[in-house]
Amino acid sequence: MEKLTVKQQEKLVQQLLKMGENCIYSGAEIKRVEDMINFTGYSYGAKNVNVFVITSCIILTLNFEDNQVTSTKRIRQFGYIDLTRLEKLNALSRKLCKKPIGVDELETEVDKIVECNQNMKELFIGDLLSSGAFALFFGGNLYDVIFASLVGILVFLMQKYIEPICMNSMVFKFVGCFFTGLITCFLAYLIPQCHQDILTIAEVMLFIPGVMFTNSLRDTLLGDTLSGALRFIEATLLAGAVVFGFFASMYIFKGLFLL
Amino acid sequence: MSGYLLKLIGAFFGSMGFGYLFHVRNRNLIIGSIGGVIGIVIYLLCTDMLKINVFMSSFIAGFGCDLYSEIMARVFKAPSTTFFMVAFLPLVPGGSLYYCIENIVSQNSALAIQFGIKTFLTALGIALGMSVGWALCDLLRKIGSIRKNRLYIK
Repeated sequence: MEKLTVKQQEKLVQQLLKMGENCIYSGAEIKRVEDMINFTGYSYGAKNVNVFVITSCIILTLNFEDNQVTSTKRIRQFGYIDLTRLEKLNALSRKLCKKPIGVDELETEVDKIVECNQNMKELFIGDLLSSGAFALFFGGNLYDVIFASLVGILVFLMQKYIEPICMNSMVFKFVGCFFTGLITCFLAYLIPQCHQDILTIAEVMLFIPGVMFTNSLRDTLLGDTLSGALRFIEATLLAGAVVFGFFASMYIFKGLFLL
Repeated sequence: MSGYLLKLIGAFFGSMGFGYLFHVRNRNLIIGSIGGVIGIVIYLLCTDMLKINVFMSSFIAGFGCDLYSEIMARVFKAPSTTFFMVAFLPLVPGGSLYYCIENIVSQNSALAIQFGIKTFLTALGIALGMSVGWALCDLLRKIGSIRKNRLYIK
């Protein structure tokens, strides 16, 4: 690998930060992100790589022979889990460790991977399929499966239109769970063949932050106690918002029918 | 028997649905969904046939899911995260969480606590099983690397 100029070194740091940021958005563990940045930095000729990653920030310093570049990336909670993007970034990092490419070419490659936005069609299929399938999984009949799938479509619409305007994911979880809970209660009341518990459980599965919880434990076990603790607290608060949302909807529905 | 079959079909398509949500590609989607079925099979074997408690059943199921994901990651050259995130989802205790909430609303505190504890133990079991599986695979990988005298950066 030929020696990088100062401008190229700065660009490299920015690209590594972008890769790390997108890995965290996509649901990677902290250790994976740190390893990726470490190995890629060394393959580009850095004498020393110091990277600190938590779920809300990445700080990176690359020490070259003649220069030192430090930069910080603040990570906001805009991301959604995208495992194909994670796989592509992982594959890119492996490719760079074998044979580094030019920094401008690296910028193009990284931009190509990260520019893909959330595919609405996949979100629709995912919500529809998983809510219907989990209704079947928890012992529902055909009516439960059909109406759970329809409520799944509603969840998709809420994720598309309401989530972007909510202050944060906790607020969206509460609002989403509240309206979903009310709708499942009404459906179960109007259609006697539907079971309220099965309909609601199928929708609960869509909202529970299971992935965040397991990632937090994974991070803690890998030695990133700080990131693990941050993620765990966030997962607990999100789970609390889900519980409170459904609780409020069922309490109000029960209250309305007792009047 | 048909109840179990429907459960497995539900687990397969449920995992697949979440695979779509997580933007997993076609081949990895099928493999992850099969992992979901494997996890549920292990869980049902432990709870219904071997009559093991909820925590150990979910621990063994989480361990099995992680082992499957790590093996598939080596075979198909993809991060194990891709397969594991899709595979462990049917194990998530949505049912017991809902019954906990329902009993809080109905003011049955004893049942609410019972379901709450079940939810917590299931989640903890999955997380610990997954963690033990990951730690074991990492250890075996490092032993393999040392044997082959490969350099690894600390």
